[in-house]
Amino acid sequence: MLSRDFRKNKIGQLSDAMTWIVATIVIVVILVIFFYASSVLAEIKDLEVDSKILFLDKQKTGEVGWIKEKTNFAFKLNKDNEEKINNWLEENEKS
Amino acid sequence: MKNLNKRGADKIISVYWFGILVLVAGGIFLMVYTFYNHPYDVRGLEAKIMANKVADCLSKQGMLESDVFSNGNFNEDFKNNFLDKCNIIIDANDPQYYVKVGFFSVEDLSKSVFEIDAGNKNWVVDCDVQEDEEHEKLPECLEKRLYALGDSGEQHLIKILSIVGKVEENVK
Amino acid sequence: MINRKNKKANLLVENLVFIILNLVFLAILILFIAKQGGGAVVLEQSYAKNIALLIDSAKPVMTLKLNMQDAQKLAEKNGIAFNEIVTISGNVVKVKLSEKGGYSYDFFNDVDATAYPDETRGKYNGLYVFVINEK
Repeated sequence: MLSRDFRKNKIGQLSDAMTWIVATIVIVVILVIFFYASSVLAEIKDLEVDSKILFLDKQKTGEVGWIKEKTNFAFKLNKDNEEKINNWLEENEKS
Repeated sequence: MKNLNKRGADKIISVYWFGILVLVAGGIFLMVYTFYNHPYDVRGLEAKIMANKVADCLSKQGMLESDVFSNGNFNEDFKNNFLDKCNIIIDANDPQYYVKVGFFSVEDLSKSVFEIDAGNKNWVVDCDVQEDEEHEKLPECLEKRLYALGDSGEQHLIKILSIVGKVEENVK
Repeated sequence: MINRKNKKANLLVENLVFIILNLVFLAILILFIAKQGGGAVVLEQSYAKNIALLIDSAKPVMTLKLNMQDAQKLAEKNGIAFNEIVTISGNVVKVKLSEKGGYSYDFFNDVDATAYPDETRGKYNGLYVFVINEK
């Protein structure tokens, strides 16, 4: 009877250790994933700046930007070569 | 005997548990430090503001300013005093900006007829490198194009390239 | 029988201490994270860059008002007077919210920019006024 109880105790201790090893691995993996996520979030975090106050183009809502307004004014005065000019304006704009 | 064995096992696991807590605390500290220590990158906005400012300096209501172009010619004096005329400060000792303005004729878009530039010219190469993919640790480049007329209605196409360095203050 | 009674008492104390220590640990972590978010270093950088961008896009003659109530609270806590948190010298903006702190950022607009705190009935209202004039 005594020896049977003793064997049960040994098995119990082993399973505790295995649980802790697996738990440690899981915790470390989760920490690494969260650390990576925090570094990605750090790169994409932005100052909350209102583009309107800075007179910048707000392309999302379709508002006409500052520079585009100037171009529109020029077109109102002289529309020659409009297509060629528009193609050049839209071509390769790095923004 | 049984009771002693159980207590011993609990004590070992408690020490290990606090070891895990220290690991988690260290991980969280690292995450918070990484997130809040990373500077805000405002170079994109600065480049846009610079381009807008230059455009405003060159053209008003669709016409090139008389300082820039008059009597069918571009003004060399404007080119030589570009920063003063457009109220832009670029530190000569440690220039953190570069601006280049190119004027093109509608007949020949491949070559500029007049160019103005100021600032750190070495960064233009870095812009070519970033054509396909942006590199955070290189200067931020922005190109804007606009159309304006000369005093006699001549058509001019203007390319404004604005580059902002300031890598240390904006990137870690 | 006696042994069983002792076991229950030990388990209870251990569990209680365990839970309390965990709660203390969590509380310290949460406080640390909250403090970092509202910290002087982050706010100084945020305000300095914001102000520099605003000055860059401004033209003479303009007056800008910026809500700096967060900065005001933090500066008061750190013993910095509200009228000393923003200084503009030449084309450099400096925001200082703690004794040993301070963040500088320069702007490219060649204008004469001055900054002073706004007041309502003789008291600072948390707004900072920026006046942009020609040089």
